[in-house]
Amino acid sequence: MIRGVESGRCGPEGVTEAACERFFDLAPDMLCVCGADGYFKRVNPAFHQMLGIDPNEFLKHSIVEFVHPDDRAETIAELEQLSLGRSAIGFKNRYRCADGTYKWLSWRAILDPTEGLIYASAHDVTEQYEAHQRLQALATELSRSNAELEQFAYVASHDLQEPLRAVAGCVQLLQQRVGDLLDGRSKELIAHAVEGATRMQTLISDLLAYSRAGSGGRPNEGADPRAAAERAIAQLRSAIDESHAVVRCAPMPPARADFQQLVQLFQNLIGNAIKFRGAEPPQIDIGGETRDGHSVFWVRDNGIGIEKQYHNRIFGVFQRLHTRQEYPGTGIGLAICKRIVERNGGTIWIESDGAHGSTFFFTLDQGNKP
Amino acid sequence: MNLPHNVGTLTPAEILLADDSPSDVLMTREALEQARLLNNLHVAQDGEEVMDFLRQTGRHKNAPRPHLILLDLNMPRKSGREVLAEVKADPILRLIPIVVLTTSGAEADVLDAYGLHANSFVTKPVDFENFAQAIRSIERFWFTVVTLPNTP
Repeated sequence: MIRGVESGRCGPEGVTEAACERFFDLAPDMLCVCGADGYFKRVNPAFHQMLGIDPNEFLKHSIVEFVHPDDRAETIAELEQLSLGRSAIGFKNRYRCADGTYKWLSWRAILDPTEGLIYASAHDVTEQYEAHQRLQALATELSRSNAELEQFAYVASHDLQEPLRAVAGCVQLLQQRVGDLLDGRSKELIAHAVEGATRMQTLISDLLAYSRAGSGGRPNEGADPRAAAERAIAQLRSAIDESHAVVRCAPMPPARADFQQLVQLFQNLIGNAIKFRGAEPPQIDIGGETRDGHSVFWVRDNGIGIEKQYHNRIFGVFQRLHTRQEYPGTGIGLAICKRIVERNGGTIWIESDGAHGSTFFFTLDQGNKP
Repeated sequence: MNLPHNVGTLTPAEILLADDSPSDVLMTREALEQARLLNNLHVAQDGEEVMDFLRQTGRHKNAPRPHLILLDLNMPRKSGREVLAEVKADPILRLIPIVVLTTSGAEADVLDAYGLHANSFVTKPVDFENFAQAIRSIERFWFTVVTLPNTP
């Protein structure tokens, strides 16, 4: 609070002139008065504090003198607008400091037509501006890095196919040509070689699918997760019929996500629920609700469950808890789910005691953010 | 000039395979040998050689006009894509059906190839059985189902 106001006092009519003077000198923002001729008439001490330039120096120069060359044309245009009676709010330009560096200032200004004077106030936004620039740079770098990774994954998978085909194809041809002449062990060896190559091909295409998962999506405000789940169920029709699975789909809240990616997400989770079933036919419940402004979804099954110690590992790439003989697959499904969920801004986790089935949960934004 | 409906039975089908992978060429050869179609397989290993063969220039002065071209997209020097564009721009050469037979199944490559007027696009299967089946299907389709144009 300001103490000891000498003349007058602050009353309901407004602040006294002395008080104005106090505020003018105290203000952390730069305050100034300029003539319609474009020259400074008065500047407050903040000018010196911010820019390191002697206040009297300002009075000798026009407003534009200290402005960054690239910003001068715009500043002049803004001054013209002011002279026509429009007030300026949020106009930004760079001002030169005594040491030659520049600060970004955000201005508010208005012309008093009777006096022919412009009253202006500037706030230093250099820090925000630089932070914004850093953020932009990081975003660009991230975007570039992601594009590189995707290209790498594409090229790597692509170029690995041909030598794989050379191995698998030629060994199979060998099998055809001399298979009858070989003993049991030799036939077994050839079979392993072929199986290894074809499995490698599956791994490569899974890796490609993983690298593409959750990318290039067009997030849809208020996408319909229930429709996505039903589409996934339709696509799993034959697996559902084969296993006599009962799949129930409850109403769900909206989600801000790419529809196709949602379908893929549900298809992987429901597919797993069917695959990793116990002795009983699979009972699968799918639903969702709003919690703390987010949408939370679940896929619950009565299958073999997953022990707590593995709850993190299962979301890793090519992580499996069973041999290929027990259950088929490369262990990419949950890694893809995680990638889709996270790239749409959500989280995914599992609840299971390892004996009574599993419930997979994931969150997504509801969209419609202000 | 060969009458199209005799090709593969009385006269051999001339097939030009543009591919720089010796193992893929070998497997294509095996698959075609197992076919009932009478065929001569010609191989070009890069885009320049393909154009020499089609224009009957260079060391391919006596090359026959192929009835069908199997074209891989990834070749050194001139790529399969460039060959496709060049052949389909030529008023006479573009009558020859081109099957793009390549490793990539990527959406972008498929769209691109059809956009350049490839007659069809086949992604090479990885194992021999499926690969051979694909080759046999291609050959059966283009030589027993389809009517080929008379080209000079």
